[in-house]
Amino acid sequence: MSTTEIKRIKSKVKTNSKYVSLITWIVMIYFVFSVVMLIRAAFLPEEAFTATPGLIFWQITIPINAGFSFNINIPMEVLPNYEPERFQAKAAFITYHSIYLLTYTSVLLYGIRQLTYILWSITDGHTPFTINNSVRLRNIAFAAIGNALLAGHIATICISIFVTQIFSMNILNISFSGLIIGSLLLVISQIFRYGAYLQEQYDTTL
Amino acid sequence: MAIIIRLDRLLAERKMKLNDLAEKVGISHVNLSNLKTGKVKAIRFSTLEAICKTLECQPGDILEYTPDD
Repeated sequence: MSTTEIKRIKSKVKTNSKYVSLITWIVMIYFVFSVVMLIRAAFLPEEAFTATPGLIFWQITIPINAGFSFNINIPMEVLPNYEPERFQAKAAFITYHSIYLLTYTSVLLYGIRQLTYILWSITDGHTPFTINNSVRLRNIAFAAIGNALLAGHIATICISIFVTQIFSMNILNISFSGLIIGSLLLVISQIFRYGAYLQEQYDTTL
Repeated sequence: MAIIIRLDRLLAERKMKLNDLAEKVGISHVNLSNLKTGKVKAIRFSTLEAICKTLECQPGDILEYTPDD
């Protein structure tokens, strides 16, 4: 591979790194906004919340300002299709949104942060094939797999305890796409580990 | 390691400094120093050829095998 090509790749990685930073900021703004909404929801009366059943989601809406509202979708696997009178929409909103922020958004932010570190390791002039990057990819993979396996169940359990007081759990309430993505990342992390070994061999050859 | 690099001995015999060798061979001083102190794991034929050409020696004069006990 020629030096020009390597420079071109590094320039591309630098551009991608900027996009990832932009995505990080967008997710962080969403995270902060969601936390603000959560705090606001805690002080709103029960009547301010509207729960609307859909085909696969409950849509719970809270008013923000005149004409604007904030809504979240709770899957029916988490909150079954009960009569809206059988649960408190406020409790459902606060419980599910807290769990969502703690599981999905945190894992997303963690994954993006690790990806940024990997991209930085390339733009800084080092090779991407290092043990550190392999560990970072493995950590993202474990986070994705853990999230895919547990997030749905944690949400269901919390909704059962704090909202409906009716315990119902579907063992298949797992994210298969998350599992596949996590498994693929795990394979890629193993490839990176082997790449790190080859890189070390190359670096110690004169 | 069982393979010992005898570069320091050859340099002393040729009354040559490591810097001069590095310049003639086209390898950085740091890398050549690593080779001399046995910190590298492998050496390319092209590098070995360049060193042999500069020092007018055989590969066997640079590399020496001593069995591990």
